[in-house]
Amino acid sequence: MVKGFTGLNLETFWLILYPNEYSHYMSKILFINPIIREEDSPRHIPYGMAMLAAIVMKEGHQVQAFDANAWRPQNLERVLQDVLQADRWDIVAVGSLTTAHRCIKVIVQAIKRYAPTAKVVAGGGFLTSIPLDIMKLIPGIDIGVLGEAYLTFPDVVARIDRGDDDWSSCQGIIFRNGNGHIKMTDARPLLQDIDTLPFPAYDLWPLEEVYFKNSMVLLSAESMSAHRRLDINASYGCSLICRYCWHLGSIGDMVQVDTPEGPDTRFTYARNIRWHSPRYIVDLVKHVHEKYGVDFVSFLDENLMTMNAATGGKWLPEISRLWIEEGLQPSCIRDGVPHDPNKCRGVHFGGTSHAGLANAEVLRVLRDAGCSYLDYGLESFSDRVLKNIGKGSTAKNNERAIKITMEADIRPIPNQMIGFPDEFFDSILATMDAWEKLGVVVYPFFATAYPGSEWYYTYKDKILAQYDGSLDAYLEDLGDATKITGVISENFTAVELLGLRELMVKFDRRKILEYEKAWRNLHGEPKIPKFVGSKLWDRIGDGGKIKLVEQGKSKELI
Amino acid sequence: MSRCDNIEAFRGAMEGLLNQGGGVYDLRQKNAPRTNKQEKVMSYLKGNYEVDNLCGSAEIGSAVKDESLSTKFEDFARAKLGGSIAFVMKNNTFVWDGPEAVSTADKNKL
Repeated sequence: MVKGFTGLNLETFWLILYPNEYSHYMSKILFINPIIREEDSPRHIPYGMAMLAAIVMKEGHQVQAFDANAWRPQNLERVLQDVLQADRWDIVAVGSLTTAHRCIKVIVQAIKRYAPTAKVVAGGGFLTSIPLDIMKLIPGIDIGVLGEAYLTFPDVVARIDRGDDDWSSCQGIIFRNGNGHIKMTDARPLLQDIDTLPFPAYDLWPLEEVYFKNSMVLLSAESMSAHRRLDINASYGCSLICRYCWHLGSIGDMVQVDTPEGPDTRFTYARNIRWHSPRYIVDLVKHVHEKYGVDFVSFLDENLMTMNAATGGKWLPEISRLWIEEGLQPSCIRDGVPHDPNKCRGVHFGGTSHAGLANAEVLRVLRDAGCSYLDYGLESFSDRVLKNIGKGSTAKNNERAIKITMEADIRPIPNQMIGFPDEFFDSILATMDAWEKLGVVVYPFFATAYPGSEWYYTYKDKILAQYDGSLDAYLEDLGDATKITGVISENFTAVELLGLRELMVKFDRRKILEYEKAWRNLHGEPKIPKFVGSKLWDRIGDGGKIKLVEQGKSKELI
Repeated sequence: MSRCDNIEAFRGAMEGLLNQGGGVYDLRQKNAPRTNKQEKVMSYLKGNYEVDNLCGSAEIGSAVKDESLSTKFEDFARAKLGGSIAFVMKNNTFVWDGPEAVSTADKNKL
């Protein structure tokens, strides 16, 4: 057992075994993608992990991936045992969003049990949002990568290759030192030229076995009838400041703070958004079209329109122009005939938009290249709610966006939520009126304060009170916001929100108005909090209990 | 509603064809199998001859296919409604009378 020698580090071991080659030792890396969104079939490859795998493979490392989310084995622990004992892993990397928290705990426990000598490196939103809490809740994590890992993960791997245990000089991580204390290093500057990234390692994930079989997404006729759909990511971040949202430390929004409990992160309104060049994007699409026969691409980007706005309206038209020039335009659009999924050639796509930034000309250009749907976080049709969210839109803009998107023959996905902090009967009724007027068919999300968002810090105490003070219980309960979890509404309970959602989708105004009378008899006037004008430090400061760690990049971002 | 769904219009078109040439038109491909749609349309018609399978012609047939795909999408999405599965009905009567672009006044409200 190579790893069985205690007190012998890798460097020494390989020096003894392979004196001429030890300096070239390359760690064996296993990536594990945890199960997420169990209520739906697996439809999306872990894009960030696929990118990290491509980066370290390019450097010459031996890499394997176990996609637990794709395979969803009935006995996960047994399969984990087999996978973890299949080789002598130097590094097992795991990461995902907060909603994979429960599965990540299981995976890390299994790593410690079945591959005890491997370094457990974790990353992604689940860790970056609340690193100190996660390191405490999941003690098996050795190293946590904070924010974007494209530069930090290969650095971590290189140090493990060299047997270098001095983690204090590795930027952008949280780790346990020799005494078991949790330490955090300086923030790592973001990679600026993201076109230097390789294409994601799609081959490591079960495309034929799982993902292509689940190509269908119910967002448009074309995406519903897609035969071979894949995800790509063309940009990082969003310039807006929605208070339920955060950006995983990928846009210069992450700062480090000292709290009485230890080092931690907070997220600001700093916005260093980055986008790939149209050439990189179209080359990637052409690559997946030619190599895998992909006929539909889902853009994972947070907000395509914000990138377009940042480039003076040039980015999306240029992508569309190259899309057509490279022969990716769907033949149904080129020939002006209805889409027939069995005959159409080319690549349709869908992505994200913003009601305040969309314009008719860009939409027309996108449609011409093959765009079939655009996801709009419209959220509500109450101007008060939209303003308090920090949405950068109004009810009128929401209507306009639907109209011009439909006119461009693109399906707008009109995402809606209820249960905002200032939600009340007036906002509910205004939203229902708009649904009826516009023909919106929707079953709304519940406004949810995910760790990392402004509203998580604002309502943390209120949320934890709903889980007997257990953060772990809240994290395990969090899903994709289609079910109710921690309520952040100032006026409604979970039971009330569940009932109101049912009445909304049934357009039952009579019962809602009847309930408003009963509510007012009981509570009087509603609480309408105002978030507009809240300052950066209000959300970082936590009432003065913590202070910003002033260091290089972090300070500049403020 | 597709052209072929509108039986009255279809019947009118057929009558027009009949009136043009004394009622002897048989341009359809006799051996082509009928689709369910064609069978359904045929069941609505009674006459002294077998009508052409216009619903199967390239122009009309593909238009029907497109509409059914779009309708199918709305039906499927409605059945699995929730979260990001949401849509705007294509046949709704919403008329927008506002400006195409976001106005400065609106921007100031944000």
